[in-house]
Amino acid sequence: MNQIKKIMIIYVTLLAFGSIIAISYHNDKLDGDLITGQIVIGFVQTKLVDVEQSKLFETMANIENYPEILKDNYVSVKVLNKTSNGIGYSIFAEETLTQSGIITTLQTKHSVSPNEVHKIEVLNGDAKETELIVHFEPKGNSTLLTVEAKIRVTGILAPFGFLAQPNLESAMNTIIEQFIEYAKNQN
Amino acid sequence: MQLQNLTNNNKVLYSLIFAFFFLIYVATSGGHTDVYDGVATFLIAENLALTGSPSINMITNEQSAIDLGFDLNAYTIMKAKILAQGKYIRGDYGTLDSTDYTVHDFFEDNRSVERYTVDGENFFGPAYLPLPIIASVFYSISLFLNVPPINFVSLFTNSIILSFSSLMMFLIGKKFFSSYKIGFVVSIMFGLSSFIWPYITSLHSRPLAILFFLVMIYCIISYKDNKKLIIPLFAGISFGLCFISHHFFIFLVPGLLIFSIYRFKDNKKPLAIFLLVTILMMGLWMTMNYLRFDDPLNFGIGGQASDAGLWINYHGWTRTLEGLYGLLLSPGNSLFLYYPLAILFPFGLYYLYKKDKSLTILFLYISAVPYIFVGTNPEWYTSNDWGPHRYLLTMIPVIALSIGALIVQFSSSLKMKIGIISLIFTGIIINLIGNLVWTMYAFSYGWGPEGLWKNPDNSLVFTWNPYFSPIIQSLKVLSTDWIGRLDPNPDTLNYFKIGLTGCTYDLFLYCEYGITSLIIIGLILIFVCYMIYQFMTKQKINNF
Repeated sequence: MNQIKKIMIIYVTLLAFGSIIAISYHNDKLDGDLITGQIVIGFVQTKLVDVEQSKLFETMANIENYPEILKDNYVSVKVLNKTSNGIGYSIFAEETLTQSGIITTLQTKHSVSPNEVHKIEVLNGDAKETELIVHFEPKGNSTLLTVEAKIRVTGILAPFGFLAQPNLESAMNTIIEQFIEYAKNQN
Repeated sequence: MQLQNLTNNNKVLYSLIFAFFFLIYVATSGGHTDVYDGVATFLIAENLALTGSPSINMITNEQSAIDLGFDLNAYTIMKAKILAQGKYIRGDYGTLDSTDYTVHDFFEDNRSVERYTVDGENFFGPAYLPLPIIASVFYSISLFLNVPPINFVSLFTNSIILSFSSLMMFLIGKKFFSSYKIGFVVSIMFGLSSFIWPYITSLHSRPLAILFFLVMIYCIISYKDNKKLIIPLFAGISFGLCFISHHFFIFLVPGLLIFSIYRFKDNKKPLAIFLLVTILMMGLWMTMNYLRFDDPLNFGIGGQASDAGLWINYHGWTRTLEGLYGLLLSPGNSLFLYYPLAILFPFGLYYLYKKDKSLTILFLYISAVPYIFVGTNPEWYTSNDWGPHRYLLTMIPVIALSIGALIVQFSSSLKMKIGIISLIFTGIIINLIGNLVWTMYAFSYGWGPEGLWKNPDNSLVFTWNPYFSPIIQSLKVLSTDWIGRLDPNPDTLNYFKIGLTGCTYDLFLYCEYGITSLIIIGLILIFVCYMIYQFMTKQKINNF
């Protein structure tokens, strides 16, 4: 009986070492390169919005309000630095977002030309170099909104299920609608 | 007094054990099929219930196929190729080595497909018929009750089949080890502590074939104590239904046949009955083949029958040994991880050999065949199953019964008891996770939010990287609200339509009727456990 127990111990030890060696070997073969490639999706959306240009612009420029406006996606926004260049200003911020159950913190730069352009750049992480440029053009009491998106995604941020441009455009449209709704409710 | 009378009745005990597993299975079932073969099984069952034809019908099945996101045309083309493989193997289309017309050319130009899809409405593909026949009964019941057939059939079919299998494990364990308690432990090791449990949320045919295999084994080991001629009759019928239910069991026929003949060898009459019935079942099978494929020898399994040889030839693959250790040691497909008791299998076999040599040799054969078959296939890791490849399901009852012999041997060792109980509970927890999260969602979380779809070797990542193994993937899914955010109607992915999109857990009753349904089942289960406990405490044959 004792001999069987000794054999069991040796057998389990060998299995444990065998597992470590096999797992290490095959993971080395995978080169640690678990996720390859980078996705770049670009698109432009235009929308005539029944909100005054300055009101809509202010709503989007107030980035600390994003968690309140985009409740489903923004966890928090922390302004790190704000600089002025005479014509406009830049805000460096740390933004924590959630998408598909994954929470990610990004550093962003918001370049703002009052009432005209709001440009958002992602500075680090899996979405680094992603750019969103929003143009605000007055049309009477309304605003013609143009969104230029250049979205780069790698790694864990390959979001929205199986990435597809229509999905991203739809998501962007939803976000804009939420801003518009918020701006209208400010009345 | 009434309770005492009840606990004297073995039939009540068997009903309780069946109820024990059935309640757990129904409570933990996703109430949907698997993504491919299970959908085909459902569609055949539907056509069988509605028109009486055991085929996929492009009209009858149209709406269900849409509801399940299933491309009927693509399926029939793929399966028609498999049928054509069978003809190729038998030389009906010339030799494989033809230089002017390769195997690849043959399958790619779709001439083989036209042969089998010429009807355009009925497709008699290489599907296994016994499971659709059983499922069609549930389909008819669902129509009678006016409940959605897709969920009803999926919820009950494999849950009931596996409950019967667990009961058979109890009966075999009780008979073989002369102990009710060991019989019950063996049934739990089979039904709850192994990776067969999540197969309740599928319409795969293997659990049914395993049930018939267990009935056959029970009949054969019972014959020693019960010399009625009905025993070899049932053994032969079960043997036949076993390989008719799933064609892979063809590979097990030689071993099972030799074992059966050996066991019945002392008496010519039962042996003759067994062989006669087996031949009749073979005849039934060939008749079914003739009716479906105009050829009694066309079993409809194509390349799968030739150790996947033609399939390997077709893809230009070569056999490898990686799967032989991968099926044991990889975090994604390890037999030991998804069935922790399997670690003790060699020792169980050792003690089983001392008790019953011929049964041990049979068990060794039944374990080695699927293990080598899958383990030497270069695609051993790509099946997207929970745990090891589903062909290894046949090893589960064999392992559980072998461990039973180990339990008998070490019944007085506290350390061994603790060790075995720990392995049983580890297996239960691991496989419960496999029930809470549907495997396809566990993989999808890697493919989608984690971006592994971009990696052409993502199957290898799931297999060898512990961080992406299906168990960890399932835990990741459980820790997020990702399933709740899935689009239930995507254009291309049928498993988002099939699964319980929008519900955190893959538990149909919970998602449909809320926590109350589980509480009610839990209360009934407590009563059933109490009654089983009353039975067990009365048995003093073995103290484990």
